Amino acid sequence: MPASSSASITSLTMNPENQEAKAWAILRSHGAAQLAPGFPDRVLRESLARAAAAPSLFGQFALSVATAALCFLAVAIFDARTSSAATETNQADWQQIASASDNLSQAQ
Amino acid sequence: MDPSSTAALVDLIHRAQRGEESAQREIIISYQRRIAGFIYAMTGRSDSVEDIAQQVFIKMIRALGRLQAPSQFEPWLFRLARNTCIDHLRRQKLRRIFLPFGPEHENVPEPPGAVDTEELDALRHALDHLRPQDRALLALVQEGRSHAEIASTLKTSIAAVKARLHRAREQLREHYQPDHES
Repeated sequence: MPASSSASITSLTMNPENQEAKAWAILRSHGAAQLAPGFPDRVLRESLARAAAAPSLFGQFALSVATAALCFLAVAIFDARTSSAATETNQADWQQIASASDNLSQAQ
Repeated sequence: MDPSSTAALVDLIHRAQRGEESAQREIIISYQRRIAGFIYAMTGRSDSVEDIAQQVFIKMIRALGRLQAPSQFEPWLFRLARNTCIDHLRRQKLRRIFLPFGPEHENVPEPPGAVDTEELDALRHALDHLRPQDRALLALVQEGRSHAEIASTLKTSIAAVKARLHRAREQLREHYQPDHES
C-alpha cells in the first residue's frame, strides 16, 4: 500500500483530539527545523555586535539633555512670540479706550 | 544539559548571568527548538522563525542579569518569546497599513515545501483565526506548561488562564477542519 494512502486511512480513523495533537507536534517540529545550523553562534555574535554598537550611558544622557533643551527653547520662543503679540493687541485696545474716554471727557 | 533538572538549570542561569558565553550558548542550544516551534505557532510563517528566535535570544542575553529568580527562567523566556512575537505581528499590521501593498500581498503563501501535511495546514489555518494572545496560550499548553506556569508567564490568575484557554480551544475547534472533514 502506498505511504500516502496509509497516512490518509490513519487520519480517517484517528479521533479529532489525536489528530490535533499530531498536527501540533508536526507544527512544533516544523518550526524547530527552520533554524539553520550554527544558530547559537550567530546569536552570540549578533549580541556582542549590538552591545558594542549600543550608545554609552553618557551618550544617552547627553542626547536626552539636548532633546530637553531643544524642546525648552522651542516652547520659550513660542511663548515669547505669543505674549508679545498679545501685549501689542492689548496696548492697541487700551489706546482706543483711552482716546474714547478723552473724547468723552472733552465733550462733557 | 537536561533543562528539566532544576538545580542544573539554576546553576546554568547563574553562570550565564555572570556573562559566561559557554553557559549562554548552552541555554540557546537547550531551548532553541522549543522557542522556534513556539514562534512558528504564533506567527505561522516559516521565514520569520529564525529572525524572531534570534531577537528573543538576544533579548534574553541582555535581560538575563535582571532575572531575580532563576527557577522562573522558563516562564520568563516564553514570556519574552510571546511578547517579541506579538510586537512582530503588530509591526507587520502597521506596515500593511502604511505601505502601499495590494490585497494580494496580505497573505503571501508559504514557500513551496514549507507546509508538508494536511494536518499542519489545517492547524495553521485554524490558528490564523485566533488572536495572537490565544495562540500563545495554546502553544504554551502544547509546550507542556501547567496552568500555574502559564499564569506566571502571562502574569495573570489561574482562573483567567482556564477561562481563556477554554475559549481559545473552542475557537480552534471551530476552525480546525482537516481536509477529510470539510
